[in-house]
This record gives sequence, C-alpha cells and structure tokens, in this order.
Amino acid sequence: MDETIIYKYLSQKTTPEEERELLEWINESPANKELFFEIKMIWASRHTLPRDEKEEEVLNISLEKLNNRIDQALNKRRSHVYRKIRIWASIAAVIGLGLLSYVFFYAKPDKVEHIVYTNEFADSVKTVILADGTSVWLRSNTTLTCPAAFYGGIREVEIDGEAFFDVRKDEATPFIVKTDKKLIKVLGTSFSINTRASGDLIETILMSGSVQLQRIGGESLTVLQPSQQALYSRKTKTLEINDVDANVLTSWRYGLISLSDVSIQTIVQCIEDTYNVKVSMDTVQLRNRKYNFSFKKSKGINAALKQLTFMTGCEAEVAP
Amino acid sequence: MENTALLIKKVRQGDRAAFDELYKIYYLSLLSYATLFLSKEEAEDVVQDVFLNVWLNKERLDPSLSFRSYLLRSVYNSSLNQIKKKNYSSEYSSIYRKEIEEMGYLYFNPDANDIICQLYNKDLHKQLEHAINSLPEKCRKVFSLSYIYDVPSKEISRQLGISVSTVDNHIYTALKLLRKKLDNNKIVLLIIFLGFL
Repeated sequence: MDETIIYKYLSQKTTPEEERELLEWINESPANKELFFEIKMIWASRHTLPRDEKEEEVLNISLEKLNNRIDQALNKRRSHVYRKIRIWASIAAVIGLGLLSYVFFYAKPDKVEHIVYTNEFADSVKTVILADGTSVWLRSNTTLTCPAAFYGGIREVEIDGEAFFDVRKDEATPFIVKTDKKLIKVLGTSFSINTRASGDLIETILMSGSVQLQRIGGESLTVLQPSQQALYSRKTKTLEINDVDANVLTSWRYGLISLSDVSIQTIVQCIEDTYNVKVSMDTVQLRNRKYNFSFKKSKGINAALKQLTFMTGCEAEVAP
Repeated sequence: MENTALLIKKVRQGDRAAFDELYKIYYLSLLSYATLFLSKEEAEDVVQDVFLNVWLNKERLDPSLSFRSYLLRSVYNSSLNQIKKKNYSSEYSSIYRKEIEEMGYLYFNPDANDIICQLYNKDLHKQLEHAINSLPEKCRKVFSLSYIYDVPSKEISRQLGISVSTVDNHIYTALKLLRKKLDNNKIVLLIIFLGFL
C-alpha cells in the first residue's frame, strides 16, 4: 500500500476503496496500527500551533467564555426564579407541549431587567459576554441592549452601531438581533452587523453558520450563506447581497487590521488613518504591485512601518 | 510559569486567577487531543465542560495525583459521550472509515496508552515547533504551509510549482519524521531514569 494514503485519509481525501485498503493494512500488524494512530495524533496536534495573532487571542476569548459559564452556573444554583421555571417546565412536559408556551409566558416575571452595554470610545473594541455564553464585540460608539437573562424560548437583543456576534449554539432557543429596520434571526453562528454603514444602509456580514434577515413585521428578506454580505437600504427598502472576505471585514474585533490584495497606497493610507500621522515612502516602483498586510493597532506605528519596510524593501517612515 | 502543583493547591482554595493560569497551560494540548474524536468546535466545548467541572468540584482536587491524566481522562469520557449522543454512524464517508475511527476511540484511551499522556503535555507546541524546524528545507516549507497555515495541497503545488503527489509525499515524510523525533524525547527520558537506578 502506498503509505501516503494515510495522509490523504487524515485530510479527508480518500475514496472508500482507499479506505478499505488502509483498514486492511492497519490490521496486518501491530506496528502498522501504531504507525497509523501515532501519525493521526501528530496531525491532530497542529491545533497547538497558533498560526497568527488572531489565534493567540482565541485562547483569551475562550477563557472569557469559560469564566462566564462558571458565573452563570454558580448563579443558577442560587436563583430561585430559574428553579421555578424548571419545575413548571417539567410539569408541562408531562401534560403536553401545547401548554409549554402558556407556562413560559406565565412564569415570566413582569419586569425583565435590561442591561445596556455601550462602547462610547472612538477607537477601541469592547468585548461583552452575554448570559448564554454568546460573545459580542462592540465597535466604537455602539450600544447593545439585552435582557439580564433569557426567558421565553428566545434570546433577543438590540443593536445600534457596529458589532460582531459569536452566538452560542442553542437550537431550541433562537437568537434574534433587532435593529431599527430589520430583525436578524440567527441559527448558531458568527456574523457582524453595522446599522450605520455609509449610504444609510444596514450591513450584515456572515462569517459562519446561517442567519435569516427579516423585516420588523416578520416578512423574510433572505437567508445568508457564509462569506456573504447583505446591504439593506432604509431609503429604498431593498436588499443587495455580495460575496466578501468575511475575515478581512471583521478583523477589527481583534484590534487587527487586515488588508488583502491591495496597493501600497491603500496600505499607507490605512496606516496614516489608524495612527493619525503622515507617512513618507517612495512608492513609485511599487505602484502596480498588490500586497496582503496585517497589523495589530496596539503594537504601534513603528512596528507597522518596520513590517511594511521589510515586506516591500522600501523604507517607510513617519514624515517629519 | 508557576508550578502546576502549586496552582492546583490555589485553585482548591478558590483562587480564580490560578484557575485561569491552569486553563491557559492545558487548553491547547487538550483541544488537540479532543480533535481525535470531535470537530474543533465540539472539542472546544468539551474542554470547557471539563474545566467547568474542575472549578465546580475544586474541593475534590488532589494535588498529589497527576492532573494531566485526570484532564485527559475527563476529555476522553466526555468526547465518547458526545459521539454516542450524536450517533455519528451516518457521518462517515464509508464503513471502512467508521471502523478505523472506532478503532481509534479504543486506541486513544489515556489509561490504555502511555503515549497519550506523554504526548499531550503542556510543552507539546514547543516540541512540535522544534521538530518542525529541524526538518529538511523543502519538506519543512511544504509541511508548514499545510500543517500550520492550512493551505490545501492543490494550492501548495501551484505556489511552489511541484505536483500534488510530491506535496503529499513531503507532508507524509514530515509526519513520519516528526513522529520519530517526538518518540526520541521519550527515549531520552527513559535513559535518564535508568541512570538513577
């Protein structure tokens, strides 16, 4: 057997015939079995190597999520209201599903406390984790309103500004984002919404999973696929859908500015805008080239310029 | 980085910061281990579940026992539960893959296999980086693109101007070499031990 089938198997590229061959080979000897499974372990270990700064941040975000789940679990133990709902829910399950919605309505407290998260700063990203473990990144001048806890079989929040959501999967409890003009019903997923996109538009970009866009009245506009952007115009009340690089357009949430396949002028312009300085660089000879450039704002202008200099072979400095 | 036994003692007493430190230390290697059974997203959930339980039952932590073994065993049990719950039978591309994967579930049991405990340690990423850097030049370049940056073989073949089968050969050769190198770490440990007898 050609041993590279092992690698093909791990990257899911084998045919059923090849898989049969591999199984036979594995059963031929304990040494073969050991070789196969140890290589599988090494292949799986690639997740320990972060491929860029984005992935280093992932560890911190994962930790935040965990801490929120712990807090939630500890609160649940003490909360008398949750216990009440759980008892009613189990009785309803015995009696019949028809009663369930009535029970949830009845058990819902009269006043649902709302929490308002605001990021009032101009150039920072605020991270918030909701009661269900969903993570939300708020861009500058953005407000998120949500209930202190989710009841009644849905999770509904309201957004004004630009935010990125990483919704915790819960198929039984749909996640709904309200803006002034449309609703977004989410089916376990990550996406961004901007209610102030230029041209009086509401922009939605889907990273992974699935979202359904609806008008406030309930009429469905479309269901988005990953790497699609929907632009809803308040004026014309129409929807435009484009294919985009969702990663690039939402990388702001890591304080990471990511430019893809752009000219040197665009990169320089971006650095100038980000740090509010003028950059001097002789770009004449680079005029027709395209680059990919990512930098973390918090690392500072000098690091960014150093990286740019290294990448292009042309000196980039802050203009005197 | 603090000694893990000390961190565990602190966690027992309710020190949340020490708990965070422990999570950071073990997260990546546990995640990798869990992906032997589940997808990356499901694996993350399982690792979080295990740590959630660590905190909720922190009084029962025993600093004299191997924390790493305990974590691996917990991840193992949770992962198998997930698999049973989700009934993956329909998701395999063939019955042969199903049989191979199920063989794996038994093979990767941390109690049945010393290698698991030794491989999935907190320094795994450093050992991997070191081993990858000592690969022959061309092999390393192709392998890194695939292994670290997730570039598909077709794309690597296009970028470097070599055939897809050459790419796959480089990657497989690298995997075999890495396996040998990581195995050597074990042998060194063994020799040192014998020296003390």
